[in-house]
Amino acid sequence: MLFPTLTFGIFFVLVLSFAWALDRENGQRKLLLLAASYIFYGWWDWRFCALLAFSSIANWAFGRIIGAMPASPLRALVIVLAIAVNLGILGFFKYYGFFIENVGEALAMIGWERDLFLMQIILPVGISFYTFQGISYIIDIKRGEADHRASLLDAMLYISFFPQLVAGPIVRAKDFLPQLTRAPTISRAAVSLGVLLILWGLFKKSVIASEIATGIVDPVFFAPGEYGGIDRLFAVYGYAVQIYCDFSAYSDIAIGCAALLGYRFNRNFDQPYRARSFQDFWRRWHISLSTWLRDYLYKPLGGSRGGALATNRNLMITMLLGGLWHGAAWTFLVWGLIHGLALATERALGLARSGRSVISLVITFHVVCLAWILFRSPDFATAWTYLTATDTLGDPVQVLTPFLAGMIVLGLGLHALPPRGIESLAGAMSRLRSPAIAGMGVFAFILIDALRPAGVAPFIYFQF
Amino acid sequence: MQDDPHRDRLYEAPDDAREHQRSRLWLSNGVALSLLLVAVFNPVSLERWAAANPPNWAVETVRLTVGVWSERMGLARLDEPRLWLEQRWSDLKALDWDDVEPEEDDPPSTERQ
Repeated sequence: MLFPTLTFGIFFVLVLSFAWALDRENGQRKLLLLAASYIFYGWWDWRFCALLAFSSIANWAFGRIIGAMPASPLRALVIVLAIAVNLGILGFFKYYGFFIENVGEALAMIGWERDLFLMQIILPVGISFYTFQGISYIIDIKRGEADHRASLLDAMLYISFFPQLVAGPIVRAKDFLPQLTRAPTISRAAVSLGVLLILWGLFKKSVIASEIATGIVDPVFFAPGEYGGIDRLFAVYGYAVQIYCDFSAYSDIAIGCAALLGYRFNRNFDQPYRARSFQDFWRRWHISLSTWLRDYLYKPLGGSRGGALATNRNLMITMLLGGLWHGAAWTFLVWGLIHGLALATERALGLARSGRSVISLVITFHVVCLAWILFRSPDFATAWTYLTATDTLGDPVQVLTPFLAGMIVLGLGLHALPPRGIESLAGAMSRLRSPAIAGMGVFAFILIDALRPAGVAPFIYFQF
Repeated sequence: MQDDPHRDRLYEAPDDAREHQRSRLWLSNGVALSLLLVAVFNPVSLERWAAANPPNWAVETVRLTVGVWSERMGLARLDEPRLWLEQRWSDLKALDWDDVEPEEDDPPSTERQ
């Protein structure tokens, strides 16, 4: 069930209506939301509902045990086991094929070929997200930041709550579980914000990202050697805009849906291409992942406490694993490596702290774009062709049209909007009467519906 | 709940039950009216949805009902704004660089009058 479809629209209106009808019965309301979440997830492949349930129940059980035990080596062992179970599920479904394939190639290289047990494993949608939420649940309980006495219903709803289930934002247990303790109340400002975020997300995904993807990014990245330099340059700018508009749209719709149901998720994007350093970029891009990696990986590794060498080592490990989290491919690892190196270089040269000019914004954006080429390319050969097909540099423009150039400029231009523009607008809208809000919302919706191309491609981050 | 820079103040939920009830009613009215307006003014999206789903009793009922409604809207020319917008959007997509480049002025004549 994709967000920008009428099927989801009907589903969400039904859930919203029943959820607010049950606002005096918090337990029944949560049960309804849990059932809705499993229907939402089962819409892709109902078989994976069992995996989701197993992950939720296992984390809840581990949380109970960890919370009830005093600090001891045995408790540490249980925590390691809980994290290993989460990573084991993720590793099996996401990295097994990649691992076996690479082991096979490595053995062949040393002349020791073996028939390894290769399986075609379907990647359950959203597994990277809910696994990270499971780990967050365990570690927050270990740190005493989340209540280990949370009911099974609360723990299951935390891990499977449908707005953020398949592509984030990655919600922390310590942020979400307290919201489940009593039936939520709602304000007109929160409703206005939710509606605006949903409409804004629909526009970014259905109009900007879809047009750019089908018009320029997909054809050029499919066969980069057949396109000239201008097409390739604009395709990578286009991909930068597409991935931002696609992923931030999902986050906006997820945050908006949660807000309408009375729950709060933190912001996941903050105009990332305004960043004037890589440190700044990671404070603005996929914030829920970058803060997750910072709090549950970088800091436990030692963070920046152990001198320059140790800091850079921790940084590289974090970024490499962050890259690998996106997908089981070497290109993602190198994408993480580029970001890690850029962060380490900035730190070594003191650039992140020094005065930031427009030049640093341009440099940061272009290094980010360079890394996007690896992120988008299916393999190194395609990325290499993309970067080195110099014989086609002078070729005439084939796919870039004024319309697509305009869409790319529009996507980048969104970063020049006031940083809290939607919030300000929501505050103003909340003072209007409901017919006025409905009229404006429907007008915006019809406008988006008329402009968007037929059919909707899945969100990019579904594959992660 | 921890205080963080990514939190929006708009989420502050009212502690007053009456305020909550008023907001909930405001939301319910808004949703009901929006559904009505979408059904009246945007039957095309419902028609597309019905056409994209496997036919069954419910889907076919929606498709036929919406089809009739859409036709009536067309006869009353209420679909013209949408059609106009779709046409302008298609024209924009079809633009080529030759269409947007400024036309070159005729070279100045060197012949003396």
